[in-house]
Amino acid sequence: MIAALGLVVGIVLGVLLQPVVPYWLQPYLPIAVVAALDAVFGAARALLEGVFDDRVFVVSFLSNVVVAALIVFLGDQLGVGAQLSTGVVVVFAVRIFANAAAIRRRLFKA
Amino acid sequence: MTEHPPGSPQDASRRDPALGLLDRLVRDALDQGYYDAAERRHDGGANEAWAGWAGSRRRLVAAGGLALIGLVLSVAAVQQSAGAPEAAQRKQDLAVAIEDSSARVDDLERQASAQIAEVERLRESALSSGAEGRVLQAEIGRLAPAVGTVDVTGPGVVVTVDDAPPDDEAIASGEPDLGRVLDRDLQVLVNGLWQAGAEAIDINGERLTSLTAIRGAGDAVLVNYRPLVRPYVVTAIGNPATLAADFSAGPGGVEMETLRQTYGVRYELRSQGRLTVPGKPGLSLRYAEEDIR
Repeated sequence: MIAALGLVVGIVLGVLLQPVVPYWLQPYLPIAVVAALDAVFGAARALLEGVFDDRVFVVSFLSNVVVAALIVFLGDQLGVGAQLSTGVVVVFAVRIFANAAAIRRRLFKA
Repeated sequence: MTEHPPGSPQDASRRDPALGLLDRLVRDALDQGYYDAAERRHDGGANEAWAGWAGSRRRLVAAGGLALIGLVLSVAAVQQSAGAPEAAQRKQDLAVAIEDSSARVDDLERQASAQIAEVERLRESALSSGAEGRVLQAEIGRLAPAVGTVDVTGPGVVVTVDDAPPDDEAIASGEPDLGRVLDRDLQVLVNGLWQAGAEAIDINGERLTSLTAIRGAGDAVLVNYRPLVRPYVVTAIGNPATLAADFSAGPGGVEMETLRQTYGVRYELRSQGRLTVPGKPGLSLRYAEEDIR
């Protein structure tokens, strides 16, 4: 309940404040988005499987964002930022798909 | 649940590393940490500092994490929707800037041709005073039409070519539009006209001089560094008895006919008794000099 409230608060904050994302941070926004979606789907699946853990949820989300951003940052410095960024998005997207499929199987038994 | 039984997935990964990678991604989609934490809870083992935390506090941490996620998602959405009109605006600005610049180029060109006409008039009056000057004047009068600096009139042909009607099916499937007239097609067409004996040619009013190139730049065809607007009307002056027939039978005409039949490109050829091909004034060589020996 509190968690759902937190999600709503975050969305409302973003819409109301309309923070301007600094230019140097913009390449990392898509990565943060897919990492965030991955974390949400992972948490939903963990909840359904009854293994949800608050700490794992927060720590895995933060560390995933940091590591992904680091990979892309390194790639940017070496001139392969776009390719690595694609790779990161693919990895997260595959995980999101797999977790969504697991959720679907559990909910609809199909 | 933490251990993966040695089954078929492992065999697959041994066969093909790429397959194994994807396989592992799908299999370990849920963070291993969740299972480990669940196991620890199940074992009832001491969970480090975390164990002392109250349930409500833990839930607060999760709420904070979700708030962060919500923030990221909404910021990205806001950023995206704010950027879209901005991009459209920038495109609009660019279009206006291009139009302005084109108008200015036109204006400057008009000024340039007026001044070039003035120069020619002055040169004529200066040269007509002496005998040597009159010889030079005659030379200029002989060369200017051939080089392409003055307007010329005479009988000839008008060739009109244009892109084929757009093939919606091909565009939808992302294939290149083969029915488009390219700079290469115009080069072949013009070379065919020269070969058939044309003496002066223009495309959409741009005279082909001794320094003219027909080339493509992106989607546009440039002649005299000016982009052409479809359709392409090629005017050529030459022997009225043979120009049209020789062109049609030559490589240029054959190529255009092929394009028309294969890709549906518009291609029309008609003879005309009196045509005017405009000159391209201001032609000057900056580096090449007459070899006087």
